[in-house]
Amino acid sequence: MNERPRHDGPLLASGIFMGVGLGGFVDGILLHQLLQWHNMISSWVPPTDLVAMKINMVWDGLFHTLTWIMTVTGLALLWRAGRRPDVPWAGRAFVGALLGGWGLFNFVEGVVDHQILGVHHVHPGAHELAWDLGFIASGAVLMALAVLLVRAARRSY
Amino acid sequence: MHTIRRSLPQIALVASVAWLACARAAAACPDCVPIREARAAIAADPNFWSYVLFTGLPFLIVTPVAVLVHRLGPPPPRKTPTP
Repeated sequence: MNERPRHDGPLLASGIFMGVGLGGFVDGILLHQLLQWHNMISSWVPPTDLVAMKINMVWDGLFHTLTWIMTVTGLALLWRAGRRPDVPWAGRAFVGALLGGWGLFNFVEGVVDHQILGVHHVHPGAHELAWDLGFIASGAVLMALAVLLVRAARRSY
Repeated sequence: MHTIRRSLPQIALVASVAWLACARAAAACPDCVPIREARAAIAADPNFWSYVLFTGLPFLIVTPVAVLVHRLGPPPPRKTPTP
């Protein structure tokens, strides 16, 4: 008897890892580099001169290293999942997991780094708290979308 | 001749990228005073390990969640030896 592939854990885990990594890249590339709203430790070492900017760049580099590791881990898990007959190859579930990983990253980073540690804020200055809460809310919305997508995908396998 | 003319845009693109890379490399300053100051400040910063932890903490929290999700569902089918 041929059972349908239902063990979606490896597929979802790979999506979560890649979502965390790619979500981290969105933060690092868009908010740190292109918009220059904040850097990794910009609340503790404000980048007001070249040396302070360089210091922040180093910590941004560590941040990007970790997001890279997350992305590569996700890719490796996806590769392995694709070779297992018991794992469904479901695009909607994978996209859901990607969004879930991105949302999880925004939520955890927002709570830990922005609110608890205060190592940096999304958009320092006026309405700082609103920006921070918006970032956390974006994480919650992405995770909710992820749950909806994965649930919908699971109906098909 | 015609082939070369058709490839001109690509050749121009490659040449400009190479020129830009050389210009960037020449403008980069891996051992200037500000960089040395930044390296020294990072090494002497008493919060060094705190920054390492703060940068890595979200990833440390997220990783066990993904590992837990990996175990979801029934285990992979066992390979039974064929008689």
